[in-house]
Amino acid sequence: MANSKDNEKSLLIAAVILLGWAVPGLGFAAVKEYKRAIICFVGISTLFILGLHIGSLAVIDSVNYKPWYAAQILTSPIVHLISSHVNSSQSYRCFGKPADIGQLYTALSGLLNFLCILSASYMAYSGRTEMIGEEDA
Amino acid sequence: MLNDCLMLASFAHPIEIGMTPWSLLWMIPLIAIISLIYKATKLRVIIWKKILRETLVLLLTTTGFMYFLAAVFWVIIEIVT
Repeated sequence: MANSKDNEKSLLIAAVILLGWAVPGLGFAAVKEYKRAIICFVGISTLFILGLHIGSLAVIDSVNYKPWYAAQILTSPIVHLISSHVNSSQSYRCFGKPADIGQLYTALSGLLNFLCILSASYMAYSGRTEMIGEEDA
Repeated sequence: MLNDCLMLASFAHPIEIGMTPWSLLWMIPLIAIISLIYKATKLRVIIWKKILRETLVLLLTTTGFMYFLAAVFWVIIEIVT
């Protein structure tokens, strides 16, 4: 009985991690935290799209900027598709400040999504009301 | 069709950002969204009014502290050089 409950919990945590990576905020929706899900989706998507607008698609570069790409890929698997497109077309160029700011925005959107995935999976693990380092009631 | 082309074009070329003090303002949306997501993961109960107020407080304190640090560094540079 306890074993099947543990399996269910493990499945829920795995689902939360995968859903949260597939679409930012969906991990929170899986644990029925819809307001958090909306905030994370809107915030992370806005930051990522703004980063692409500032620096163009060239800021997603899995060949020359691997450390940045490692953070960017945490946003969503879509980043890998964008990277494949950028690498195959070779027509996107970005230098200087727009490249810096674009990379910063897109990489931070990935790291923020990682924070959301951690928070949602901890909520799935401990029951919905428990939170990592909660602030107040 | 035209709208689609315009939308795609906005991701094909980087925008122009000069080396001016105004370019520092690009940190504001970044800090605002970091504050919002941080508060969304920390607050036990999400109440729209409360999260917006707490986000604003965190945004202002973070921005204020960064400007304070910038001022301190500027003073140090003025003294040293």
